[in-house]
Amino acid sequence: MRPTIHSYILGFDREAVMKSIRQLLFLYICIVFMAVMCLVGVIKQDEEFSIKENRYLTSRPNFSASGMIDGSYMKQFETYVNEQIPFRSQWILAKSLLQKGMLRQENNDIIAGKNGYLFEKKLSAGVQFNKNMGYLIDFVREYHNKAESITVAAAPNSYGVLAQYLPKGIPNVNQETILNNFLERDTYGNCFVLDLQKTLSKHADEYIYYRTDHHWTTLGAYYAYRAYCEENGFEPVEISNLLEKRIANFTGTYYAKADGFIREPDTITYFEIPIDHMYLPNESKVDLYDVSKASEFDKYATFLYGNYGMVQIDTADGEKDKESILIIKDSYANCLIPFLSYHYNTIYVVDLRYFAGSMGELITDKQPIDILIMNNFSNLTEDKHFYKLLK
Amino acid sequence: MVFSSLLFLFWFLPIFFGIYYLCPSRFRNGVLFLGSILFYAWGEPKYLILIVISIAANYLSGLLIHFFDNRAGIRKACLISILLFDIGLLVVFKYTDFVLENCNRILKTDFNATNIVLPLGISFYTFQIMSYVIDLYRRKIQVEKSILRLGVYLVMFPQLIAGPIVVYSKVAQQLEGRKCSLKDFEDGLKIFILGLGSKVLIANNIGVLWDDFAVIGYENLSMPLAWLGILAFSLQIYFDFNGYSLMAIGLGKMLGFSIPQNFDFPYIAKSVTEFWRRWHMTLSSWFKEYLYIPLGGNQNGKLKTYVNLFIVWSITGLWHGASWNFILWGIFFFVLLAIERAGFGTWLESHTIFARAYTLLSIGCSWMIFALTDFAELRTYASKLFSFQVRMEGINGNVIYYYLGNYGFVLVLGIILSTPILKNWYDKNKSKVAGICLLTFIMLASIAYLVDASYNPFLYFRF
Repeated sequence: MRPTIHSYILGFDREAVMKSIRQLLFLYICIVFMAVMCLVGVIKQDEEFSIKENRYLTSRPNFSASGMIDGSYMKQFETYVNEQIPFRSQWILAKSLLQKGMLRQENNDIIAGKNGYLFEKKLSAGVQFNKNMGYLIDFVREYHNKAESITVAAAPNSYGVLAQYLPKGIPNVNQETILNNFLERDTYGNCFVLDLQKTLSKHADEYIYYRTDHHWTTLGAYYAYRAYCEENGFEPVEISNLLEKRIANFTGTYYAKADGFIREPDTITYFEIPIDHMYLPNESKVDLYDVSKASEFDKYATFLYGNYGMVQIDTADGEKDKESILIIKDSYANCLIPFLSYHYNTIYVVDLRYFAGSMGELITDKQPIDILIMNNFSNLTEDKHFYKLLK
Repeated sequence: MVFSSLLFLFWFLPIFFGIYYLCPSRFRNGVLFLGSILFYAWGEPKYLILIVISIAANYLSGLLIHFFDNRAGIRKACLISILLFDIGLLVVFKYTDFVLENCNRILKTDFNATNIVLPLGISFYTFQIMSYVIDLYRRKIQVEKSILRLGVYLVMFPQLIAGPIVVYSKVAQQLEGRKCSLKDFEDGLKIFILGLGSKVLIANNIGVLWDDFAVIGYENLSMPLAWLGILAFSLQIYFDFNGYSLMAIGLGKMLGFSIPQNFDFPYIAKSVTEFWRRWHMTLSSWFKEYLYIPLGGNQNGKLKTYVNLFIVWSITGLWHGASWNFILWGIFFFVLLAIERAGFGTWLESHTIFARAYTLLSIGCSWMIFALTDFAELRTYASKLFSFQVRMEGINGNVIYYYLGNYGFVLVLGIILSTPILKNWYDKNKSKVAGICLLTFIMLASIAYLVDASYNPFLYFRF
């Protein structure tokens, strides 16, 4: 073959190079790909915090001989490699699209339903649920004569209510049967079980659950609040009389987990409800909402400033039904509690996951008139902190 | 370390191969040895010592067997003691708790479980090293005078952890010197990527279905779901294991080794006998070569043949795991193989459709025994396979639709790829644009799945 002009000027034979590339095309693709990945990996800064995952990522571990011997260095290094891979969020998005391409309706244990609704995959209630119910029943037995009333309210997760948006044959467990099996037994005269399943099912065609988040909407919580009022003989506040505020473009935890699988952002609604003071562990506030969260990823944390072990709310002056209530809850209750400030002078809010004190002392100390235990189904099946009810 | 990890793909692979090929060829065994040691120790540094002892002991025995070439008695003693040593290590580290547990049950003793963690790859490398000393004793191979070469043979990372089981005689030459052209290297890379995709895209995806069923509870399964579970597990284990073998073969090729094929479309077999000629081929041939034939094979009359088969298959079962269900699994195959040997096999040859159905059903049932280590669970599952109950009790009755909808695509893909239908197309196109696009896609898609595995929103769930 006659040498081309390139071979004179650049010192290589273009034809030969092209031929070699054609013959080993895949090898070259891999080498270029590897080189790009490694180069970017070296250049790019480690990402410290992952907003979507709500957690810190592992950075490069320091080498130590002891870590090498017991293997902890290797483990950490592997986590570091996994979490700091270049283009991580793009890879994760690509995987989500591939799941779709394979006609999967689920990604990372989130199931896509109709109308933009995402649901969690929940195949069994598990051992923890039975344990938690045991703690709950013991708690009611222990304290039923120390309060005027104890109400247990288990909030169903969206898949248990929004049957019309579920994909056909979704293998999730039936929350209703499981909850009823437990909650109907062992009742005392002053202990109630709020059947929120029934309450919310009546409003299944309304916007009572977020499409992209595991929480119910403020409207869903409001219906639960009305059910609570009915049980206790209170006159519920009408939301039409309240000043409504909105936070648009909310994509919640389900969306974060399924990442890019489906995207129909939600709107958070909250109502301006004046209070006297709200005491967080280290500071006090004069309102119920953290509006700075409206511009962050975790917009639901607007309600009550997020979750704390123990919060006290002194409600605004005015005629109230009762003196005080203790609410033992998870984040589902955060958007419901504001409504209760129309009925109690003081609201004690305890989140068992962050609560470090003794429940017995707290009840003796504060002497709440009513007690409300409000958790969502999923939390009841997974949370490992219910033992604190009996501490 | 495992192949299907980002650490392996983006750190180990480029760094190792970079050093390996930049070194002059006389240093390559050393590089391969050190690299393999690092690969092994990454997950489990403490058992490194075991593998080193094993290399040293077998190397010395090899020298002794060679040295006493004309002293039959001593040679034999050397062989027996090293085999006892090798098997002893395997038994101690793999079966101690199993033995103690059964001892407690039968003799009413009261031993505490030792909770020894199974050293990675011990089942595989023990069999490999045994092939060396046995073949040396049989004078089939030359003694290996370099401890480095023997070490490389035993620890080379492609097949160290999960096979294929490469007998020493197959790679003896390549240990001394091997060539790998760029074309070979690229071919190996392609095989590796196919294996990676097989494991990450198919096996892992189908695996979710099987895991789901365990969470739902076998007692809640309807009959169609129970069969779907069997199908899923059959595909999962094939694509998992074959994927790993392909990755090993590919990596071997990239180093200049030719590692033997381990699977040959096992699910198209028309008898169980044929299945075992296509499934985990290196294991079956190892057992044939180093157990069945030494026992006498089929040379000592019918009864002895069946006894030998029984021994071989019980041990094959036990090799797969220290639990009774694996022994049962082996015996299940013994029964089928014995029936086929007794004449059923010839009948099957003339009834192809029945033969295929029978083979697939038998293998499916065998996987049920394989997958469920607990006999109570096994009973439950088996009863669900024949419950004739179409809908599920308790939860939503249409669950089958969900699983068919969600996994239909990957299951059909798995079924198609279990047959050689696409093999011709691939062989023709693997160096053309279409094939290269496909391989690139498989590579990128696999990486996307691997990266996503580290994506854990809600570590502090329900904030």
